[in-house]
Amino acid sequence: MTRDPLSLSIDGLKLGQKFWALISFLCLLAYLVISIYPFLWMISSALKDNREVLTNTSLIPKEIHWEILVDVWNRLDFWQYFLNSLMISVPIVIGTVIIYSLAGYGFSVTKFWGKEFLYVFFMGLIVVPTIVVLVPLVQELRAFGLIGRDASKFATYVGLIIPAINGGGPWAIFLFRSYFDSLPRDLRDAARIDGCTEWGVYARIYLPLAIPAIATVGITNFISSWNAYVFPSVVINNPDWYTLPLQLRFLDMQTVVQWNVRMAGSLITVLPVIIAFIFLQRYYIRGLTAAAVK
Amino acid sequence: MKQKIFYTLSLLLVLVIILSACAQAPAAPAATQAPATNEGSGEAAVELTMWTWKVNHVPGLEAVAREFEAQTGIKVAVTAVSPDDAYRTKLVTSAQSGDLPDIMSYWTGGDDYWEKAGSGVLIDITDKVDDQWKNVFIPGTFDKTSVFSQARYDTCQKDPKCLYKDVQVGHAYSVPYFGGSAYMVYASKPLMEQAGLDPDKAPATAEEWLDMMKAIKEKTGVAGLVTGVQNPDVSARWLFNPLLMTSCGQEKYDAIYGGRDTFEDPCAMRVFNFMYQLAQEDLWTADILATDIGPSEAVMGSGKAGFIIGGTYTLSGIIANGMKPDDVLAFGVPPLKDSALDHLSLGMDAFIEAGITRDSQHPEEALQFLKFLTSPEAAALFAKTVGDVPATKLDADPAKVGDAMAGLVAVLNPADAPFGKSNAEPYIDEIFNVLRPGLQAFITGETTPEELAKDVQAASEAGWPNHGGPKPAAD
Amino acid sequence: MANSATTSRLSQTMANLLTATRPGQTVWKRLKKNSGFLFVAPAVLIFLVFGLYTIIYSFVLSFFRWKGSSIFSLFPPVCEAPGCAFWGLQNYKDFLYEDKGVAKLFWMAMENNLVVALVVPAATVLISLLIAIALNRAGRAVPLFRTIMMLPMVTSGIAVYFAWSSIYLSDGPLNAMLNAAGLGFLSAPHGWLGTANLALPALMVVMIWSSVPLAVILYMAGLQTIDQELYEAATIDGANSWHMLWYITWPLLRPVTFIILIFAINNAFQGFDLPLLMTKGGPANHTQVVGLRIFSFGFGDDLQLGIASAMGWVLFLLVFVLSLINLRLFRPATEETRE
Repeated sequence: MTRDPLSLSIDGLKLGQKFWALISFLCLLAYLVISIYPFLWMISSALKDNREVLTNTSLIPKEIHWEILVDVWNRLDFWQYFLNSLMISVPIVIGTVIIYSLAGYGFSVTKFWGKEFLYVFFMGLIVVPTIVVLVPLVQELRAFGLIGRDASKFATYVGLIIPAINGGGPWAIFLFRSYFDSLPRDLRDAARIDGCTEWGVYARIYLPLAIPAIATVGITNFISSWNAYVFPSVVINNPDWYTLPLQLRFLDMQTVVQWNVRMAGSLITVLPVIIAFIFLQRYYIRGLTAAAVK
Repeated sequence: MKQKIFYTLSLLLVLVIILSACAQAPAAPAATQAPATNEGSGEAAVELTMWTWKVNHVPGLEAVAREFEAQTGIKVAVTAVSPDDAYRTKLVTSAQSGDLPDIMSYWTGGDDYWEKAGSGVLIDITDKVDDQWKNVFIPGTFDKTSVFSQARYDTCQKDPKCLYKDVQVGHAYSVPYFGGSAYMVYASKPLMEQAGLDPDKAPATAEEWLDMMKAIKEKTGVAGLVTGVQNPDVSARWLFNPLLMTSCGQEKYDAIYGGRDTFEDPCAMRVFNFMYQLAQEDLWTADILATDIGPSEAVMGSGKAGFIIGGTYTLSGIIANGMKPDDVLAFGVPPLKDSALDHLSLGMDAFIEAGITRDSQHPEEALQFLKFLTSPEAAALFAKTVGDVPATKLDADPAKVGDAMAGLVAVLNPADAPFGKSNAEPYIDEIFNVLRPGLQAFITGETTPEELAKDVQAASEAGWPNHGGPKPAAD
Repeated sequence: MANSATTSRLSQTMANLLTATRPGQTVWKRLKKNSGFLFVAPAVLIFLVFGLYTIIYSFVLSFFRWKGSSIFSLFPPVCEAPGCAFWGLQNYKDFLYEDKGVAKLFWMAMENNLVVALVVPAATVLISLLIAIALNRAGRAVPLFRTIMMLPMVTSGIAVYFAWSSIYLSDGPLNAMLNAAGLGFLSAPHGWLGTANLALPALMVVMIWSSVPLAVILYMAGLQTIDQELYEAATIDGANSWHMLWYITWPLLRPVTFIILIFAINNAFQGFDLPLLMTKGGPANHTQVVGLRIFSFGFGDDLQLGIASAMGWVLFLLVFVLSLINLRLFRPATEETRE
């Protein structure tokens, strides 16, 4: 019986509301087209002749070149670099979620000396310029033996993963804390009275409820670490350890940039992200439902 | 009770994290030793590393490396880090962590290059390059830009911001392996024919060239001219500079860029006016300000422009984009009418250097490779594989270097090239920071030749005091 | 307002600590009182190891002239001449006013940046709020729509740039559509990215496009938390949709808006990949942004890491102040009401 703002259900609404419903539907549709266009462009360019990519603005190729995709797939040695990328991105996501959901809980629920100051400090880190931290980071990694021509694959990846976790930290803290703040405090108080420890409240009540926040933090960090280019290119010295985006650079070793090859490579690289995204999105929607029921 | 267990466990967890973080530090030396012992056991199997940012040079360099390994047994692993800003970053971070490769490629002769040389990143190889080795290079390459010149020394000493004050005149830190010439124009013969022009006749003057562009635009509807104007360096260096050079002559060119003469001189004004006219007559391709170098070659290759400005390096690009080599007419940027020079001789510049870094474990072998890389035999192999010009003297034998290359090599005439004699480089940023966007502003219609000449001159006058006053003329 | 709340809470916790130190209370109890810190400890630890040094380093570096070849390090303190020189405040002076060319470009970039930082966050909030409300009402009937809407988040960067660049070409779809709609006079015959006054707005559209999906996710999560009874009560009081949007939805979503704004403002100032890949700052510097200037000094043609650091810190100061203003405007009363 509720009549909500900008409702999309047409039944039993006045004419004006029908009008607005139509307008909002059309706007959503237009937005949908704009959202999907570059993605379609990527697919269409991967199927075009190289010259056509830059000179034919139509989405439909004059002639479909499947062989580009097949050729790129074969040359990319996909599984090796896919595994490399996975070995970096998955620990980053897991580490980020664990460490910063803990921190988010600490900042949201518990009390300790200097909490607010520490929180504001972390928030300040969001706006610290990241552009010139590469050099000192590499010096540190060197001091820890995590970089260099003699570092093992494991050490190199650790050197990639931990700074990336730290880099995503302030945002994750912020999102987790905001999310935990939105949960009713009675939940925690009741559990504490029932004899649940602080750790128990976090692990058994707050964390399961935080699936939407976990999904948001997870998706964001997965995408950014999967697509990362500059930092991995600085840290990794052995071509066998390259991630997918790094390896992609070597597909077009021609005199001229092969745009179609590049697009085919991009398509293959983002494919895992899209699959992971669809997979995570289910949890995300389920989490939303859980949060709405509370 | 339960609580105490929780706190104790948490404390333990934190301790474990701290310890594991610390444990990584001592673990590192163990990791470093493993490959070291490997090396010790197989003394003969030296493997060198070489870095570049040019992905398209990798096949050429690898071909040379395979040849080198066959002859000496020394392996060379070539790695590309691209694009160029990722490469610069990689060099900076590797210099800090001591992980530079044995051999690194770098842009020839700029401030950054000499700063790398002066900071000890590159090993001084002055004594190693004997006369016999020097002789393989095309004049105007190694001798001009790989050796630290008196002019550069003087400029640096006068400039408080210069960071390579210790480099001494005559010293060399690398050898060039890739070069060529800018200041070239390629025309599309089919379009010229369609416009009723003689497809084999290059324009003698810039004005004639402009009329040809107009004719092509009128008769065929295809825009006259394209190049990577989105990159602000392009119209300044590839078009403005050669026009200014011919219009004013080399000495006056040096005087203007050296702060001893003015950009408002009539000979410079004619160049500004010509470039303004190009914009006014709408002779550039439609999206010219959003067209970078690579895409401009695609535009030309697909027949959407009559002319493209570039250099020796442009030819392979337009051919790969679909132009037939027989359809291309190549000529140097034509001078304006009544210019000081009646034509522009194209010289040969070095573009990319290879040097041995301070972190190299095998500098002797690396030097051996540099010598091989710049030998006529290897340079021809490189040229043929990548379709570009090396800095080593080659015979223009199509069998050895490929057809297109042979044509290019034949065009170059280093002996009387005015840019070879000029000492205008290094240009100062103060001038270019105004000139580059200014030339783009001709196309957006935001400035006029008079305004721009005035602004550039003002920038020049304000800029030279920062560099210890105007640059004296070349000897 | 929020600041004073923070400080008052801070002083309160300090007071708590002081009272906690009176004799009779054991160390264990005091530790226990602050044991919430253990939750935060891993985050602090990882920052101390991998974050702190880099921040101090880049700050110290802003007082040096250095191109990254000779050694510059804090532990041990090394600045190897001649490739590195102590430069005092000169880096700051140079790009703020002293070096005319560099300073002019910096301020031009700053001007563009302010426009971007004003328009992009505002448009992002407006568009994503409307989409989130519409989507939220459409319910679970359109999960496909949701997935498609989030495609910009996963489309690879380089494809985004080229796709949009092709949209903006003189013979691209945008001009074609305008011409077909009889609005040819609005089209850009030299391409949108090649026209002086259209290049920056064209870039801003792409920025908004790429920041909307995440904002929609956040708004949708926020909308789920709003109690439906509020709307029912308002309906009984005779409120219309716009009243409810303005008096219920918008205020209750303020914390989410705050998040989105911080995100968007920060991106507006620090992001530079769009202009780098699509316009290179042109035409004639019309799309120069400060991030691009820093990039140029940090990794690009102008390579001088001291100036890159110094610009970075000036930018930090600016974004920090703007974030504080944002905090005052949008950080809601929820925290105080909770106490």
